[in-house]
Amino acid sequence: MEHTLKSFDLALSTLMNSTTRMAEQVQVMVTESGKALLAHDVDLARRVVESDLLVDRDYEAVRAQCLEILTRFHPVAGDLRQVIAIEHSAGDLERAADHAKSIAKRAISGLDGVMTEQSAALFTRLHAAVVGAIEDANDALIRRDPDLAQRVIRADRQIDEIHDDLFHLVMAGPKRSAARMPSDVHLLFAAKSLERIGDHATNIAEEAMFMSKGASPSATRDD
Amino acid sequence: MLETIMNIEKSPTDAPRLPPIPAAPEEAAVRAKVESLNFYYADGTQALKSVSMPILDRQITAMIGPSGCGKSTLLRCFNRMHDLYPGNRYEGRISLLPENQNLIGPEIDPVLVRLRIGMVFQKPNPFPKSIYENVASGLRVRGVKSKAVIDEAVEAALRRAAIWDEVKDRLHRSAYDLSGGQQQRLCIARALAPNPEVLLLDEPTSALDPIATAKIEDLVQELGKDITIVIVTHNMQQAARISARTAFMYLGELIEFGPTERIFENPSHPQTEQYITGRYG
Repeated sequence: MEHTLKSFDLALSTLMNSTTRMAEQVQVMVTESGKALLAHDVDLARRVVESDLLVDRDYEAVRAQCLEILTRFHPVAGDLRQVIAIEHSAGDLERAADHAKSIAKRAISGLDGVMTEQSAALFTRLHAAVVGAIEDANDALIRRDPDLAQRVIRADRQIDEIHDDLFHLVMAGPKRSAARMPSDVHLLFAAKSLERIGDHATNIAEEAMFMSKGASPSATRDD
Repeated sequence: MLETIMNIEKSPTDAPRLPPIPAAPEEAAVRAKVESLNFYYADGTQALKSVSMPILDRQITAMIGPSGCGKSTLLRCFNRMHDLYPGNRYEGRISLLPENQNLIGPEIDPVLVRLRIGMVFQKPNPFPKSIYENVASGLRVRGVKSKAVIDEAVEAALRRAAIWDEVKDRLHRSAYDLSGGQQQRLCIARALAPNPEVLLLDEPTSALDPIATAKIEDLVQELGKDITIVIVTHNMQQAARISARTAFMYLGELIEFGPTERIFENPSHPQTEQYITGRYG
């Protein structure tokens, strides 16, 4: 149902559009940073690094719009929760983009060594799971879908498990030469960045639940 | 060791767990109860439909809703304003606690009710008398004759209404010389002079500028610490700012009643949400 005050509807839809654009940009960064790392595609990795500036700019715009809506329209109830949830989620998106940029920088500077087939397979699985999580979390936020948000929150455990598997594989695998050590460390830190992006996706999903239902499961989350 | 390095945020710590957040303090006592209240105007129009709600002791209760929803009608039931016009009819009860006296019972004298339940209206309406006499009048109605007692009570009421410093040197000048905001605080002082148990405010700031409004809001919040206040307001930010409980009314019915934070953050009823977010009508 529309607001009686049309300018309020316009401000909220503008905010949603900016958020959607930022979310899509971050999804592209997460997708392409992993691809660049797996394929040793330095050009793609450079484009990911460059696009982080766009995300930072979107982040500033979204925050400014949230502040303006709070100042001008004094939103309450579902409108208030929407503005708060978007303001928080924008922070998670911005951090997720930073992690994607880190992965891309590792692709540029560090991972010149060849990953083992098993490592590449696990990294590919981890990357696919994280891309899925961030896409679903963004969808849940933008489409106000608490059920999808709940699924993202539940699926975070799988991301952690794949990350742990990759860690054990690299650490327990056949001994590699000292020269290979830096690229293994880069791989583990890239995997760590993916795992952290998964955590940000969970946060966004929690914000989506808060926006839709007025309560988030974070209060009962066991850390 | 390496696993800890990689997964430091997941490694257990021996930091003590924070104690659980203590439960909310006990809810304030109920000062009055509206019970299945129906109200009919003389022409037969039913303006209130089976309204039931508690009024908490020494808390501010805000009533919101679109024009014609019955919120002012409900407010006026509390001090029997409707008795001023013949043919108006109440059903149900408004019980004043702890004595459980039915304020709208036919056996109760409306004049006595109004001494216990003070009221301030939308437009400041001082009497065409001096500032002093405006405040003293309520005491005189009560039969207080001693000048010393009245002097003391007038000063106390003007102080409570946060206007003493502005009028103490001109108590015997006409109340009409005051600004709109000062007149409204004088009206609050007049209502406070007989020490009412409940203070009713019917859109007390809608005729005032933002500075005078802020002064009244501060005053109402201060008074709300030791007197039960029911305020009708069209200004939802005002309801959100000053009240502990909010009632949303629509077409003579109470749609939702609850803690103000909950009403404005996560209302239960879709009609409340539509109204407070400006999606009404």
